Amino acid sequence: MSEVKKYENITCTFCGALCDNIEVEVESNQIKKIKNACAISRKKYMHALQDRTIPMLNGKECDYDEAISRAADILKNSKNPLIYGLSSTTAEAQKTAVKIAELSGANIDSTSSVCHGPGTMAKQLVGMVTATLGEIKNRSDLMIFWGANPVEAHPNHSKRYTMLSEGLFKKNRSDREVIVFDVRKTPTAKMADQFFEVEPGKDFELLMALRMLVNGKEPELNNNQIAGIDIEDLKVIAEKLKNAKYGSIFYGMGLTMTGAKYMNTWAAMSLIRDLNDFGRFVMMPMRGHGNVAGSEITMAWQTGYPFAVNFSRAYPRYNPGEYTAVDLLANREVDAAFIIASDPAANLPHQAAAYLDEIPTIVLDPHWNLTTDKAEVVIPSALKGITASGTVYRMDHVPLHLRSFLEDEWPDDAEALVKIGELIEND
Amino acid sequence: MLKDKKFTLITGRTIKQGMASVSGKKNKNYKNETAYVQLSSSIMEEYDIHEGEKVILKSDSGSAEVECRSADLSEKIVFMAYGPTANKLIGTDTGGTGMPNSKSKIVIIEKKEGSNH
Repeated sequence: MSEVKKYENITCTFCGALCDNIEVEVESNQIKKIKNACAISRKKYMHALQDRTIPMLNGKECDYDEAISRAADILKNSKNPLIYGLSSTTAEAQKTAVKIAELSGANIDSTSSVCHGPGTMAKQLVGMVTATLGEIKNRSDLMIFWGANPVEAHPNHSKRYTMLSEGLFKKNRSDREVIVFDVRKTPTAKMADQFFEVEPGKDFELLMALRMLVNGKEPELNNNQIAGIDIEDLKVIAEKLKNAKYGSIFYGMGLTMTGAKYMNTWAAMSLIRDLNDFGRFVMMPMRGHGNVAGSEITMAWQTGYPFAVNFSRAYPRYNPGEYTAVDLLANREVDAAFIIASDPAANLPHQAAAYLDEIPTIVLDPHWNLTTDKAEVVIPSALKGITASGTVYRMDHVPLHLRSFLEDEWPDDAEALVKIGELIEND
Repeated sequence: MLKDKKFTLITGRTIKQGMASVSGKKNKNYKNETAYVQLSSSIMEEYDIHEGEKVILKSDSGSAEVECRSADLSEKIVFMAYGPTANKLIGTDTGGTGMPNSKSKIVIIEKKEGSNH
């Protein structure tokens, strides 16, 4: 009879909350039981060993080394390749991907450019006052969720770090006031003490009006409303913000994807800066993919820039809107693509993703997805946090080490990338 | 004219879309969980659309056939779980930021020809 092994404190890599309290029971290299996982995480572990990729070249199975070698050839012979994805792989793999970008004169961009990238651009303009999730859990008496819906996107976030968590000084839900700003009444809004429905595309105006009120000024009004919210309500909110001992704003793509994009987050970060004249106030993006925060950290550590980096002149240049994946693909400026742990065919605008059909595309991913259908080369890889170890960064930039607890027949992303880099470098 | 009424398309996460996305991107369930649109019940009534009926959403970047579901939404917006169907509508204009208009695209609703619920 095969042995049942139990593992505790396993880290789920689905979202940026990186819950590190997962317990699994393993028998015969299969996951038999899972504890503490959210609904999405449970599905992720149950599906982990299914739908696994194999090495493929032009739709036909090939040797692993043959796929690696062809990937290196494509990157070597390309004049302006794109390396994209990176948010669901380890910092070790991300670092090596940057090296490959430098060796091949590539553009390198992460999925951050289509999620919290605009917020990062705002950080470069004004800075962001932030904290660890532990500090917020222990101390924050006013929590605001703005254009974010963690109940559906980060299901255990509220239990582990915010509304429902048991902190050192803030023990439970009744110790915290929760306000949600959103264009729709999400499941997160239903958990709040107050929900304010924002007129679509008016976040910037609303945030700037709050800044004025916090600073003792009256905004000019046409109909006693700003962004669909009554001015008298806004005055009450402004007072609450000023009176909070430790306020926190968690923001989602309701700020980064709407009209003003990075200027929305600039306005929110500026409001937070103003509020620190009254009490402590911090802010944090609700990072989606498990290591998308790490993609920005690693890229900044390696190149000086967080995403949208171009190496065509052998030194890094940064320009969102030019070296970002959607723009490069839509403008047909790249002649090859290397997709690492991502599925742009599902997640990028149709016209941008469709261009992948016209250029040699390499996909490094443990599972089949919509982009593997477009790939000339498919390279399988081990499963981060299940059959592969490595480093990932939580949404508050706390690094966590992933342990592997199952065996795999394929090397991990970092090893595949090291091999490709060596083939390019030794040519 | 009903067909001239404009809505802001909000794409976003749902728990079922998240669960389906990690259970195999090529499974039918993932396609189903990303191929419907949520509308306010008053808009459904105004357009004489019944729950589960398919309509065409159109933007200046493309069109998509989607199933309708009623939801507690303002009349100014429609919501879709993000994925390949919503991405037919979003377009590639990033305004120099790298970010497409994934929560600010204007769409119109057209009933399918011959649709009688």
